[in-house]
Amino acid sequence: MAKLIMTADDSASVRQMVTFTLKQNGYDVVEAVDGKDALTKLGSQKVDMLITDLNMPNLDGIGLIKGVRSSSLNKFIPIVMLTTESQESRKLEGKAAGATGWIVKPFKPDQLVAVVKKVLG
Amino acid sequence: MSSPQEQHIATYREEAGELLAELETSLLDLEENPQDSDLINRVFRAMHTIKGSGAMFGFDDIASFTHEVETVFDQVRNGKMQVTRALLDLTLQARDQITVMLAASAGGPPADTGRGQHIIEGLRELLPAVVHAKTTPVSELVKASETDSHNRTYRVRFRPIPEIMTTGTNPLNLLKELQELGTCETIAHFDAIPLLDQLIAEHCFIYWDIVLTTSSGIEAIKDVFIFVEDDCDLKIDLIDDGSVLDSDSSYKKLGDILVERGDLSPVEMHKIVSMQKRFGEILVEQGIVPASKVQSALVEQQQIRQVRQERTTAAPAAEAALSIRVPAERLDHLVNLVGELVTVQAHLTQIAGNRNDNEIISVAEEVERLISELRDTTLNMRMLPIGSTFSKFKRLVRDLSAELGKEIDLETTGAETELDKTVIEKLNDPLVHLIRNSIDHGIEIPDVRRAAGKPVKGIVRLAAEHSGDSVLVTIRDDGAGLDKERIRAKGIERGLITATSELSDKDIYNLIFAPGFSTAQKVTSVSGRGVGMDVVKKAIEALRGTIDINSTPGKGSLITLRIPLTLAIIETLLVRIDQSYFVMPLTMVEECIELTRADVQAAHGRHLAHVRGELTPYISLRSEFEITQNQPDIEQIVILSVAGKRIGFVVDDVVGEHQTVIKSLGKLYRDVRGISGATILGDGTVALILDPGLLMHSVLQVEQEQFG
Amino acid sequence: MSELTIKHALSDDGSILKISVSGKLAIDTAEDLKNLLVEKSGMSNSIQIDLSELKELDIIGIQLICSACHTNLNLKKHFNFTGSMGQNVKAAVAVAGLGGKINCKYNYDLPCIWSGGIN
Repeated sequence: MAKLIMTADDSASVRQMVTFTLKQNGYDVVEAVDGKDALTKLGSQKVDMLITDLNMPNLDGIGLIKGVRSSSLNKFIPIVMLTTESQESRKLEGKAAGATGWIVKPFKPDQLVAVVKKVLG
Repeated sequence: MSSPQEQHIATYREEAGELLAELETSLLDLEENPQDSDLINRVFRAMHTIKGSGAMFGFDDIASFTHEVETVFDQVRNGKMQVTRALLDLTLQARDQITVMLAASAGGPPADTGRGQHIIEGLRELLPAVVHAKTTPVSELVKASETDSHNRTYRVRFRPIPEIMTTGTNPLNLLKELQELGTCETIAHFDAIPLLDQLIAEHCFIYWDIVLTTSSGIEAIKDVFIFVEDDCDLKIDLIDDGSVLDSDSSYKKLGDILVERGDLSPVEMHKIVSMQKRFGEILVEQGIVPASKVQSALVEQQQIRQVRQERTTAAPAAEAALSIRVPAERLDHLVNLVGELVTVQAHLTQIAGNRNDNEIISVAEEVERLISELRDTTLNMRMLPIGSTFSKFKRLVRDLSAELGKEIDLETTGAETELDKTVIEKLNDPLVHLIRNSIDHGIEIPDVRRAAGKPVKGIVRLAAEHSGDSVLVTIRDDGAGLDKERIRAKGIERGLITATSELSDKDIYNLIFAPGFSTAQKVTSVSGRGVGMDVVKKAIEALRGTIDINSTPGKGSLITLRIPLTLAIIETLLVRIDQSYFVMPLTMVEECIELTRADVQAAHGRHLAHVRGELTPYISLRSEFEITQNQPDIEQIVILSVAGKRIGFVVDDVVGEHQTVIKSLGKLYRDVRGISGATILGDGTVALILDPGLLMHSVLQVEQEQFG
Repeated sequence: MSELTIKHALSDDGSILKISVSGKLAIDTAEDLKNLLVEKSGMSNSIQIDLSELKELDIIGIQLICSACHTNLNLKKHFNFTGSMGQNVKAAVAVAGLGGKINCKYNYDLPCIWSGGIN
């Protein structure tokens, strides 16, 4: 059974790219347009992994990570955050909130797949 | 249909367009409410997305330009800068610039880079002094290209914090990733796992020691742990750097490994070492180090040893550096043991044969095969290149030739030829003697050489080469050669031959091996001190070797020594006469044929057999050893090749091939002609080792005395 | 479906408590098994745990079994596996570094139950 991964990003182009890449590699994907949308969906949907942007309207990535870690359904899933090189402090914040790993933007599809394989096994 | 990449790009343009529109609105709103953090965040996010997504889809110019604007708004967002009119002006201009750049990428007119530069400079001036744009856009996940191919071995101690799994990290995945990098031994330690009632189920208390041999380099190992480097104790040590030089395959002692890992203190280690017991056992017994840690260290030791051993076999060029020194007596002892083993194995084979039990027979055969391999390996260990002896002769030749007023060069070939250590030692004296002879009697003085039209400088060539199970050592000189007439005269003088004897050249040359024979006109300090060629011959025969002389008058002489590779164990043919067993060197055996009473009668008492039309002389070992009982009707002739001649030895029965461990007969039997030693058969029976060459000679002598 | 199902039963003579675990024994499910082990271990002097129907096992699951084993050995009780583990579970055990011959100090330095030890 294919693993289900959520991509939470307010950038449609990034979501599209992430979704396309993951589906190419045999994963199922559920999309969320921002943190709030993601947290709502994760409240009722069990997923195997979350890939989230940090800067999103409504609820940002940090808030989303904290929300997931304090939920029950997806409490222990791997969470990978998308960061940019100028966000070292945000990365630490994300780690503190409970992120598993990160991908630095810009990234190439195979880098994304490598990280997914790394945390998902 | 466009490619996925093109679709992503199209989506990005669309998205960026929307963001730019939103950005304009936000900036204008911000002018009204410069303190509105929501608006500031929105501006920042818009810039951030344009930049981040732009870089992903190849809009590098847009990304780097937007980065500058984003940097400024990051300061604003963090409260380090105020929103000012100037900032808003520049940001709006920047927004327009991005719009132009986006249009340019879709085929519109190119953007004015000078204008872009102007905007960036203006924005930078607004920045507080300390902030500089960081430019390290290197993805951390790009693996360091440490692709030098040879294997290194690392020890990794990975101890995650208990909470590691609560943030989505699965240590199993990390271990698996590590294991995929190369040859990997993983040892889990569970001594930190609490009892059930104190166990927090979701916390991880296991930690690991991993010994990894990989060609990927330490960066690849660090990359495995990149997400958890702050969430674990991670210690990576290079414990074998893969270089051939560092190939002491013994590796470290267990105690040293544990001390290095910090699992044991040096003081404790010394205490334990002094207890003279297996180190690991004591540690565990005394509860100083848990069993799992000792095991883990042992795993490391084993893996490194294996890695190094593999490297040893993979790099024969480095053989010299990898050799070990072993006292010769230990090797001798080993050879003796192998000898005993061969004897016992012969016994086993015999018993197995008698039992007619296929199971035992197959085991015996397997044992036989293994022991034969063990024997070869053991004997091989005693092999040394003969070259070490050769080099000594250089000095000898130089000194002697100077003393005698001759000019002589020593040329050597085959120095790498290997011989049993003992054989080489015993070969030394005969070789010294032969070379002395060549220098003294062989090579002429310079005047004589010049007169004979030869180069003034004489040459002695010492060569060694393999020939079957023997080594041929030759000493060739370009001197005067042996003086047949003088040898003959001396032979007559000494009563070795009669004046009328018809002798071949070879027979004459062989006279010099007679005891007390010396033809040197004057006794020099070099040769002719009473130690004659007979001593040389005896020494070579003691090595079960043969000596042969060839000479051409005026051109020089050639002495050929044929030396068996080893003294300890030889392949032989086992034969029987009545109750007695004998063995003869298998390499000499040519064939075996039957000898019937009728054949003997047909030969009219002469010891000659027809072998495919050829008359072959034979020696009856029965009569030689005076065994009279139970002579069978049909006997066997074993035809050997002795000094180039075919000669038969008559026995009752040929038993078969036999691995013979040579035992010397002791002083009492030293002068028994024709027997060179003894061996013990599987059932404990003693068999005598025949020396066919000597047997033949003694028979010839007796006949000469009788008929000659 | 993929979640954890635990069944337990006492052998007819009451000497062995057999616990069968199926589905997924991992960080998000292990608490249930822990609670059961804490509550029911007292029922018998010999506990057998059957992982043959288990599909997924992580470090937390492995560790829980280690802890239970240790706890019961301390009480001079037997704790061991019954039935054979599936491929996934065996693979996880091997990756975790428990596949080889490992001696356990809680088991008098005899082999660990993961590596076929008995107690």
